[in-house]
Amino acid sequence: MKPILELSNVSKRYPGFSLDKVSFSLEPGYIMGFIGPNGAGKTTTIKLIMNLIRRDEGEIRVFGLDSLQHEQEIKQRIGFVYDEGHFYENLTAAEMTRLIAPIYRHWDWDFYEKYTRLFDLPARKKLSAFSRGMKMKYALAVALSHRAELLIMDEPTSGLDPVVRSEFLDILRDVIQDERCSVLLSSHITSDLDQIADYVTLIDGGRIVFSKSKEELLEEYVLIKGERSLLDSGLRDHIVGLKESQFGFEGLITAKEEVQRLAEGRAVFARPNLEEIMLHCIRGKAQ
Amino acid sequence: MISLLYKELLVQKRVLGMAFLYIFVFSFAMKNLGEQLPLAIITAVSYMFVLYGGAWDEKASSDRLWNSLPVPKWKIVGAKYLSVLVYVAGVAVLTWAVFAVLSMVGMGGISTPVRLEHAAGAAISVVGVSSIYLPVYFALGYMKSRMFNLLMMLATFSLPWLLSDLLVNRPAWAAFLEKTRPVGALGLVAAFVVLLAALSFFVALKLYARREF
Repeated sequence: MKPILELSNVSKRYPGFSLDKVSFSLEPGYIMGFIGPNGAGKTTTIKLIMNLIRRDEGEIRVFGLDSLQHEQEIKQRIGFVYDEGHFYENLTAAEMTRLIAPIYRHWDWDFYEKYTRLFDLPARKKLSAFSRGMKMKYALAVALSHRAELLIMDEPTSGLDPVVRSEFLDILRDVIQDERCSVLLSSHITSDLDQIADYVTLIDGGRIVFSKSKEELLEEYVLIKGERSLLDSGLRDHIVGLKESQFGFEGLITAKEEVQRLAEGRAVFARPNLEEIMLHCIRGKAQ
Repeated sequence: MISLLYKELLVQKRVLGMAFLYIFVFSFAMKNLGEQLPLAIITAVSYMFVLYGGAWDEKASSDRLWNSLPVPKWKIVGAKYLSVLVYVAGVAVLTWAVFAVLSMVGMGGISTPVRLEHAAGAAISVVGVSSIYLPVYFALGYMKSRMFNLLMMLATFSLPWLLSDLLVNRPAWAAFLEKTRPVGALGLVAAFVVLLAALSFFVALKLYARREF
């Protein structure tokens, strides 16, 4: 199957920060979590996909089309939700939508009505009076109302309180199941992606650390805890990332059988979550 | 393009009251301009709308929005240029309305009616000044172009006088226009401004294409 989004060796250089040969791809119908710490290059990558900034090298293909040559055609089929609204706050939701709707060829007012009702969005209220959660829901309603095949979301849950965040993710999961669109969702809150992502791409310091399916990741990595003395039995070589304290250590490993043999029953193994994988991979890189 | 033009009007509808107030105040403050009063008011208030338009866009960080939507850059830039004419037309109508009311109630001693020439002169002035300002705005954004704005504001206020000098006072250096004025002179100036606006549009488009959001 042809990827719906494909980045090949994409680079962008700024003074003090570079996005270095970023490559990953997303298959149609899946949700990809794009994770990394603040300043890792998530927003820069998304801006490059949306042509908001110019790339120095590399190629970006969306729906199999070059993102520069077919920019308008691609943007007709993309929905976007950014970390901030970027809407005119002195307008009401209804007025803002009247500006955006005619731009899309496949805008569907029935869809829009459906989502604004579902998200409980007041049409006559000024956007400045919307809470952050409401603004995100409004952006999602707009993104979905033109039957987007690919949703690009940049930190949509950052700044939302846990209740609103959970509600937003529930909506997102339901909507995506119904509409069957692909999603690239960047977040530094990895617990969001534990729930909904099929694939996970980790970026750190402008470089891709890994891009794999969530199942693959959870199968590949194992969390190990034990006494520090264990580390001297050759275990250290198998550890991706390590956190030591005076009481013991916690690490992320890949070759579970070999480590189990070395630990001789003196270690505890656990299934890591995305946050633990991210933290240990980044820590491992630094070490 | 229609959406972008509609946006210019929609985001500014709430400053309409302020426009009425400006026209009202200027009608008294600049009364000594006599025949040129409507031209000066339409020019000044229209250019204020041009500036407010940029300020609203900056406040909303709307460049990121419009450039993420399937809207080509030439339409974003083009709509801004077209909106200048829409503002002049709108402000001319408002000025006509305010003047009509003032002369009806006999307030402020307004005797000059707003004529089509005033709107045409204002259109030439505002398009001319905007043609210099807008490439800077598209290159730097509203906040960074504020200092340039200030200079343009001064130019906006002085341009009607220069124009009226050209059209009414028959300056010596414009002797070649004598045979053709006033329509010919206005036509020449208008042609020059149209050329300037076209050139300005292409420069603005080129500079805007280089911007990153």
